[in-house]
Amino acid sequence: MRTACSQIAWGIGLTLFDFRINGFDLLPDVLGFILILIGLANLPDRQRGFGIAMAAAAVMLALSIAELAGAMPATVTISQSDRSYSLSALSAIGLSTLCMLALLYGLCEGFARTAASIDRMEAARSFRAVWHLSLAMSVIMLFVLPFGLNGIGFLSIVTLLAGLGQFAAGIWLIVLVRRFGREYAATALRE
Amino acid sequence: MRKAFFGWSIFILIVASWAYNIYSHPTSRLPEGRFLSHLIEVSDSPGDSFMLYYIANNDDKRLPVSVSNEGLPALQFYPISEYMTFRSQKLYRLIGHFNSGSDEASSASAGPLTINSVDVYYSDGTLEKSDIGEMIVYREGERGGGGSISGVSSSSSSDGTSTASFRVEKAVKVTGFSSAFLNELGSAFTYELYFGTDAAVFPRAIDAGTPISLTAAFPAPENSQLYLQPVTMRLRLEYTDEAGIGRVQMIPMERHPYPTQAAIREYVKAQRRAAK
Repeated sequence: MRTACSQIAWGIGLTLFDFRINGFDLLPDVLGFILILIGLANLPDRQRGFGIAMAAAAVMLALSIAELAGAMPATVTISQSDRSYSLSALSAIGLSTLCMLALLYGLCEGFARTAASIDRMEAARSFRAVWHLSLAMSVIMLFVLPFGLNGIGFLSIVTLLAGLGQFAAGIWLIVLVRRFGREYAATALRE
Repeated sequence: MRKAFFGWSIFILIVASWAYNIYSHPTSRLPEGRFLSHLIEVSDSPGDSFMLYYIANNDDKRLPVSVSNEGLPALQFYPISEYMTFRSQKLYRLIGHFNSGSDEASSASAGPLTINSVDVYYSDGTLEKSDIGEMIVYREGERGGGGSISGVSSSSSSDGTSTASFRVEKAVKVTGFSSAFLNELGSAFTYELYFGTDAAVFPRAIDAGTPISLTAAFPAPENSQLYLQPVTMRLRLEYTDEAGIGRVQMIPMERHPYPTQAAIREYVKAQRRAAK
């Protein structure tokens, strides 16, 4: 369990951070999703949430490969409010947000149920709190995103704040998953 | 129950946001890229220049690569450059100038040439005649260089007012002041012309050393379509010198478009209506 949690935490980390040199991503999302899938496959506890997370990670892996191969529109950064973005670019961000939401739901729900099953109610509440934060930020993102088609003044600041919120939720989840892996292993040892 | 209601409300809001924006997106797009409608007066003397403005949607890949006119082989353009960016459109400009290779012998005897369209080679490989508005090219012979009036200074301010001052080197008789677009522009172009301290009247004999000053402005309201009409004028101060030879002193006056987002939106609406 500890190794699986570590793999999942590293996977989330790789998908969260983008270090680019001359446009080349040193931490490609593809590796992150592969690590998440390996970690999920290695989990001893089979929860329905983990199944949802696996499906979402597989879809995101396929999308990342398609993006690397140039079959998907390149990721755009919404940095200017006074210009419009193409429907294909915004749809790609929207689709990626939806898949990430499904992944986070699966992970949070799966870990929350696993935590509850070993009587770690505080950990279960923390996983659900991460999910609620991610949901709120993603809902805001999905609501404001299409306004980018027509260039609306508040777009860049709202997407920036929602993006920061999603990032914070991701970091929080990494911390929780690593800590839960250790706690689960310690509990298993005691038993 | 409350959770389900909350969830469905959020879902409907998101779907409505996408539906509204996808529905209204086409209304903010130009049917196709095009040149603004210009009013241009220019002389074909080497060095004289003017600007053409081209408007297109932000994501349009088809842009003018080169512009020419078969009647004006000496006319050349610098490559297109971005001038202003709006939410859904970009305004580009091309600087046109006359090279010294013009056929002066034939042009000197010819009258002004009026052009309404130019041959444009686009980045998608197509060649098309495109409307640019109205362009009047005065031939070199009409300019009457080496006259008795010389330019001293010219300036323009941020409020759109331009000034130009001249000095009469040898006594002249000023016979007129004109431009092909004075009537067309009407109240959208105002000017004050002074010979010394007196307001201009024609004809009028002016002694050597007398300053001539011109203050001009293009007072177009912000929401007017004139606001999006680039104007390049070569105002013509006509006079006869001491030898009785008729000459013209050209005075350049220009208005460059600085449209607001609202003006661009109105322009796009008008173009969409016209396209229907």
